[in-house]
Amino acid sequence: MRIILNKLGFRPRRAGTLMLATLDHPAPRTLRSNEEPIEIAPLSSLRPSTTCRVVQVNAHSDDLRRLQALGVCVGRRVELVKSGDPMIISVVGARVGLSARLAAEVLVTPVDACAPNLAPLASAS
Amino acid sequence: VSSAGPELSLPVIQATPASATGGPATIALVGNPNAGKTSLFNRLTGMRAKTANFPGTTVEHRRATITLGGATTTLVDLPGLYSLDPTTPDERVACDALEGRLPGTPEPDLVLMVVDATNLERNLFLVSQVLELGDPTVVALNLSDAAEKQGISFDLAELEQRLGCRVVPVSARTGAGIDELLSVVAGTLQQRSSPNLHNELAACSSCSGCQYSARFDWAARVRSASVHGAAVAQGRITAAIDRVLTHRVGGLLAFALVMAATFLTIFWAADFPMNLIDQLFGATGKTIGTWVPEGDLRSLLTGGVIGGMGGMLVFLPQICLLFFVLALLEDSGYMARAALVMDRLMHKVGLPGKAFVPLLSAHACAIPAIMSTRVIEDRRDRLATILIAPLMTCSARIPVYAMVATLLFPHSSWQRALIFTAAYALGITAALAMAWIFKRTLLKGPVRPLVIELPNYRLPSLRNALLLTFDRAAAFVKTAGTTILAISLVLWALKTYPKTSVDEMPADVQAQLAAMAEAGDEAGVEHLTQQVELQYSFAGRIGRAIEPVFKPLGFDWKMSIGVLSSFAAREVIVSTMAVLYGLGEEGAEDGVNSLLARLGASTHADGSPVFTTATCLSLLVFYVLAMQCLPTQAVTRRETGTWKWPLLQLGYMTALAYVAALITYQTASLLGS
Repeated sequence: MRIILNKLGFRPRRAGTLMLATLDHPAPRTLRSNEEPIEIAPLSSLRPSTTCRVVQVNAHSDDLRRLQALGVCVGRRVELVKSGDPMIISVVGARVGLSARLAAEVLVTPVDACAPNLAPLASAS
Repeated sequence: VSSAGPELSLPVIQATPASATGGPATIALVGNPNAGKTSLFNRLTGMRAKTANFPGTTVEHRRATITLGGATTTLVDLPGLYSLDPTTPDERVACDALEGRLPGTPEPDLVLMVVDATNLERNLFLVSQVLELGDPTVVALNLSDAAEKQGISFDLAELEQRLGCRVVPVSARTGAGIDELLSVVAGTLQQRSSPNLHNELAACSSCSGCQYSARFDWAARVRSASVHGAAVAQGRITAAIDRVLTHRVGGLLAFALVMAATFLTIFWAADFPMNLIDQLFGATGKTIGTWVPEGDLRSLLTGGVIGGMGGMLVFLPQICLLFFVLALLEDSGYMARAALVMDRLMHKVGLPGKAFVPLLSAHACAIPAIMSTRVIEDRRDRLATILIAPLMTCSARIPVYAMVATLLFPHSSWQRALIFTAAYALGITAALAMAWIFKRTLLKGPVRPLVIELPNYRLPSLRNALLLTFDRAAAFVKTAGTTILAISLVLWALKTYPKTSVDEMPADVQAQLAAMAEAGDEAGVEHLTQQVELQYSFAGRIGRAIEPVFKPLGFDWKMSIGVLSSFAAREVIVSTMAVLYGLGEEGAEDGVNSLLARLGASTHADGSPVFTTATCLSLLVFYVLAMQCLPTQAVTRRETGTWKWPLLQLGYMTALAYVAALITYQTASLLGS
């Protein structure tokens, strides 16, 4: 996998080691944050029909902007509609086709599908 | 409400009657790609719109002049945007035009923001960025009829208060709400009032964290405060269709079916108008022939002007149909799925999935194919696709393939079919190989990974598709028309001058002509005269001069002339061969059979046949790979903005054709002997 990525001229910018490590071991990792343990996994490792929240996007500048403009940015809820390469996700009310290579750079954490969408900044309003 | 950002209090210009620049006021239509922006634009302007390029760019937009509240107003349809942080050339130009950073394009006096009412939250992201620009803004809540059907209702007062600008529900499809929209736009334009930026929104741009997250959070809050009813039912049909159309195997099958149906429709439906155009130009040529006395002027008009224009316009029905079907497929939402299912396969040659449909279209004609590469975001991916598109077997190659296949296998239809298939396969293989090479050398860079919105399926609008087809066809005629007319005239002159009178012809030709005249064979005299005249014209002399260049490919001087004359349009070789082999210009039309019989029987001076298997194969390979289409070159120039790319296209394809034909001829000769 790493060889293929390098062949394509792929160079992760931020948190590269985390990402590659995650690729080599696709099982979700558990990181310790200040208060509680959060499960973090790349979007590409999800099963269909699971909903999760984006915690980090590590793509290149143009890809990052395109991802974010389509709603794949920190705090948004993403549902995996169809796995594979490319995969289909549902985000902010629209379906988005996404190559697995990019999905590997999006780190997500599982959420309860019933939780409100406004959690991160709801208190600010 | 008063706590707007500091820069936002600046652009409020009070009581300016017309545009800030003095001319008619400009309204820019801005919206997400699938918000129905173009439909609304068409609804507001009808057939009055013109397609134009932004000055100094190759990015197109449509503009129209309408009367709004008694004043002349220009309406500009900007390319679709997801955000004001552009990632494609089209988006960059749209942003620059919107923010008044594009030289020669005045900053809009009002922004008409088109949003999809069935998915307000997503569209509000762009709204938040546009509102911050501080231009007077009106939000058109498009597809409000569809939203109502889905049980979505809006608290308009709340929405207007939170956005700080007027919001008008409309339906571009039915026309509902359009009158109110126009009066609100006219009123806002008169007041020139900037939006009252809500403090929550003003906080977004200064947010220290992810600006995108803050905006999406704001959008979610606005939606939850002003929209009632969940849009759950919305995607259900889309989801059901997508289960088939994006399936790993089913998706590819469906795509193959859709494309096969498209091509069958195009070839079947274009047949009649193509014949009609052909006959029309033939009849016009004949009529002019009877009006204008015989001589250079008649020859110029019939051979140069009518022939050249006819040769280009005969493909117009195919081009139009292809544009039309592609527009319908795009509008229905299917094209995004096609890009999705082809993405992984296309990556193998270094191209994105979006390049597949243009390349497939190139099998009808490279011109619409090159124009439809605009959907490809990355400049290098798009250039690579444009460069290789003419290698696909377009319909102009079919007459040439037919000629060669029949020469090779006059009595076996399945072997002819095999030759056809091989020629198509050769074109595709060469194109993909060249894409692979370009993406590793000149246009080096990784393929942009796929990120594509899959819009909900909807019934495509015939009206929009027709308008788009008309625009594109007009652009093609304008671009290609002038170029091909000029080159047709040059080629005509090369084939006509210098004139050779009968006295200047060799003695044996004169004797032959005299014998024919005696026998009353007028057609024979005419054909032989044409043949000898062409032989001694500039084109003939050049053909003889460059014969050594084509000799290693197995081409004699007549074929060399044929190759030269088809520089502007490859199918011309058939009629050139007809003249060169003494059948007269009508020879090609009389039926390919007489031409083929003549070609098959022709021999070199030493008595060996000219059209050996090796020569035929070499000729075929050359025509599969050579760049012999001036309209395509003109369109490449138009799409890329410089002559560099069409010249590269011509250069590499000629070199490829030459080398491949050389290898074919030498190998086949060795095997044959």
